[in-house]
Amino acid sequence: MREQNLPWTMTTENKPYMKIINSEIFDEKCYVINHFSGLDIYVIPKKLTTTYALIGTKFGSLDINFKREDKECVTTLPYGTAHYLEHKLFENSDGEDTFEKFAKYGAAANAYTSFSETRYLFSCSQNFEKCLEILLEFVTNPYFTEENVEKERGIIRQEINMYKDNPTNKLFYTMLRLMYEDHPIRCEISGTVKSIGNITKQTLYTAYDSFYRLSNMALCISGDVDPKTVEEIADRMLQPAEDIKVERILRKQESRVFGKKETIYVQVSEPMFYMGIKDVNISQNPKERMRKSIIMDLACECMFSVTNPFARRLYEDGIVTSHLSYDSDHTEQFSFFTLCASCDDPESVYEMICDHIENTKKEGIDQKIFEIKKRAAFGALVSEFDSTEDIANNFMDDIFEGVTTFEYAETIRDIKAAEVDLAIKEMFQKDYYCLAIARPADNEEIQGDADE
Amino acid sequence: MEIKTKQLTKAVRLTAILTDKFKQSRLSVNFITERRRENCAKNSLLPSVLVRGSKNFPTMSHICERLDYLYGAGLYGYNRSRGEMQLTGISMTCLSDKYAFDGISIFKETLELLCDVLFCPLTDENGVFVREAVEGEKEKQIRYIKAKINNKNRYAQRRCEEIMCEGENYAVPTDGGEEETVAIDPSALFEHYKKLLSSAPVEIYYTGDLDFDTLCTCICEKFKILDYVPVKNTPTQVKRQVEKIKNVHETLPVSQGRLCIGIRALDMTHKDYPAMVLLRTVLGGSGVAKLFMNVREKMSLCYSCYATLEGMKGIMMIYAGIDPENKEKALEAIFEQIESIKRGEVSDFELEAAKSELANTYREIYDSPASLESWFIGRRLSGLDLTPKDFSDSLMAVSREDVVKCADYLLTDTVYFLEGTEPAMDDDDGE
Repeated sequence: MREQNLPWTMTTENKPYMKIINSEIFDEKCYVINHFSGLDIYVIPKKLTTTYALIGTKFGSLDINFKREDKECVTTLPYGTAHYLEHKLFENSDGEDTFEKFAKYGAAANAYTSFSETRYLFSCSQNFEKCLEILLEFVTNPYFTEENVEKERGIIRQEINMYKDNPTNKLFYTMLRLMYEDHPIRCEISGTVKSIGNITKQTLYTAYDSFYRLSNMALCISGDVDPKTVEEIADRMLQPAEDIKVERILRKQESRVFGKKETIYVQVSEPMFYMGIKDVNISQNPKERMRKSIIMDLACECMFSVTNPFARRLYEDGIVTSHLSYDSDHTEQFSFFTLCASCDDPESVYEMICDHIENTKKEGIDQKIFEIKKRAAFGALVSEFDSTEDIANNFMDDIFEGVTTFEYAETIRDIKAAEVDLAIKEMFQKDYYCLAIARPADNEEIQGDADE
Repeated sequence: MEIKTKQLTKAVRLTAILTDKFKQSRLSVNFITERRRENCAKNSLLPSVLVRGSKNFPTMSHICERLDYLYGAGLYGYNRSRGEMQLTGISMTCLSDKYAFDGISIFKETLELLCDVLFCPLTDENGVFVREAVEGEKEKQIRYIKAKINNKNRYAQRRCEEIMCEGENYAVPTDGGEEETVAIDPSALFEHYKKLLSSAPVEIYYTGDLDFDTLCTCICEKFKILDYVPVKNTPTQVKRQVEKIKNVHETLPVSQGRLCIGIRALDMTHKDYPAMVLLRTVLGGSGVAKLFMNVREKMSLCYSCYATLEGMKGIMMIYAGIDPENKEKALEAIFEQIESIKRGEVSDFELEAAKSELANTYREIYDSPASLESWFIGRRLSGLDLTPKDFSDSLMAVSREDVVKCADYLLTDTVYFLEGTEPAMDDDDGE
């Protein structure tokens, strides 16, 4: 048990604030702890065998240019820093391997880096307390040396190459590069072989010190656990640190896309495409962002799911090989819709989609379908409560926005068809569209990495 | 949690996993056949043709709308291989009735839909499947078959299995293959459909909070028409010898090479199977496995390196994603891990870590209706009747000596290397 030298005494008056949010419709509850160390903690008790815990920091592949309030200059990190740091955080100064520590207690650990976050997690069916201690310990104790940083380079290079061989991944990034002219989203999350060559131990310490402060982090746990136990462990393991404001620097984005169309030649058996629809109207208010995110989802469902005869006919007539897939992302740093399918004639399908969008703008979405889609969206959220992994991830998705999955569900029910119609009219403009196509490469016609 | 089984008709058996711990209920209807080349393509095509439309829900839009109305219920047609058997069928998932704000019985309504899709397919004036639907799905299946090359990891593993098990049913692709698919016409597919529904054994699995008697009545009502004496399927053949190791080398324009080693091991009916599962975990099935710790972490030879074990066919596969110039070193390092186990170099830590992680895995099965179903189906196909907990207990009883001795059962059969002809490039930054 670790002894902590605290500069103050813990009294009931200083006890971290814990509140309980009850949801009758979900028949679930969430304990919210705003811990004195600065870390926000959500505990969603669930009588399932697996407990899932995840700690996340608001630092992802996009966060490469920033200004700290305590430094004069802007800091720039090489692409792939957040991901490299994620790998290296598992090192310990005592040489013991973190995966081994978890394995000793029967837990499985993992981590992943996205555009805006890095998450570290474990799942276990026993020894939860020990595992939580290990998680908090390794994430709050970085240990980077020249040697251990160098050793990782080979492994990460292999990982980069593995993703490079994935045609869908390549195509997705081709689309992103059409959408954004000067934005870190253009580079793959793991960086490039060249960019990771510039990462040193100092790079990692700089990144860690700037972004891995508990006030910039959050912990979500779901499983058969007692929130008081979580609170006790946090009290023991975590110390508050100076909160240093970090301002991310992003060039202001135009609504229009940077490039309209690009074709790459890759190892696929038939053509496929990614169509992107860019959006730069992102509110500073998290609740407004949440609402818009739901509206964008519902817009996609009404326009592009198989309930819509347009999408059904594309599939049934064999115009696309598998159902048109669609997605929307609306975050502080980027916002867009994507549509993707494999088909013989991507340009032609793109035209059909454009026509369909224009028709929808004229006629509006089908009201009956809209109401049914809200039922389905609600049902999907309820069913996610069967998995501690889904619960923890869903809550983590919203935690940095200051909302919970419960509020998310309530907001779904509140959305009106007219809001979705309006959003479609505003967001789906041809200037915001781009099209990335992948075609099968002949064996001689090797796909150079389609870089400009 | 209670597990109850009832033979409803001569052909249909119902297994119910009764619990109120899930918000979602699940039901699957599985027709079981052998994994023969002449069946597989039709087995794969049939469910996708069925879910395109039925008598009361004539288009996919109707079906999807109905599912959305039923609070996002799901309906899935599928064809899966387990060892040398195939499970062809339709499954449904839906919320427990208590979440309906309008008081409908979500389960009964979703079951209605499933039965309409299964028993009342759309047919044309000849009384067979509509040509458009069959041709449409055939084309998709063919494209899917051709697209398998997109996932290099799975492609490499599958090539290794095909080469290793040439001539055995295990090498037959789950979807039968392109040639077999092209040959299907609507009347042949309809014949196959009728044959399935008049000769295949049927296993229905339910997970949810309904009362067992109510459930039986409900299912019986809908499935009583499947009343025939089912065929007896030949179980999966397990091969326990290797005449000569096959070494195969193929190339594709990719940057990363994939190395796959196919090994004859033990199947789940063998008394030493629990030790084999431990062996696989110690070797390459956990975050501290020998392959991960040595070939990846210590030697930096690869990003991915692990072992899998298929319990019905009794095959172990070792997989590594490597730079082509490291092939010989990687092979040597991989075989060295197996040799070290044979020499008894399995520490207490490694054994305990493997057991801990396995105990976790088998406990986790109880957290998912799909996992529970998959577990019981798999075991039953091999004639075994044990719960995940039973199996986990047998794993905990395995000793280091058992694991070491088990390594002698491993017979290397095939070494397959998919070489990349593209060097790993130092590309520009993505600007």
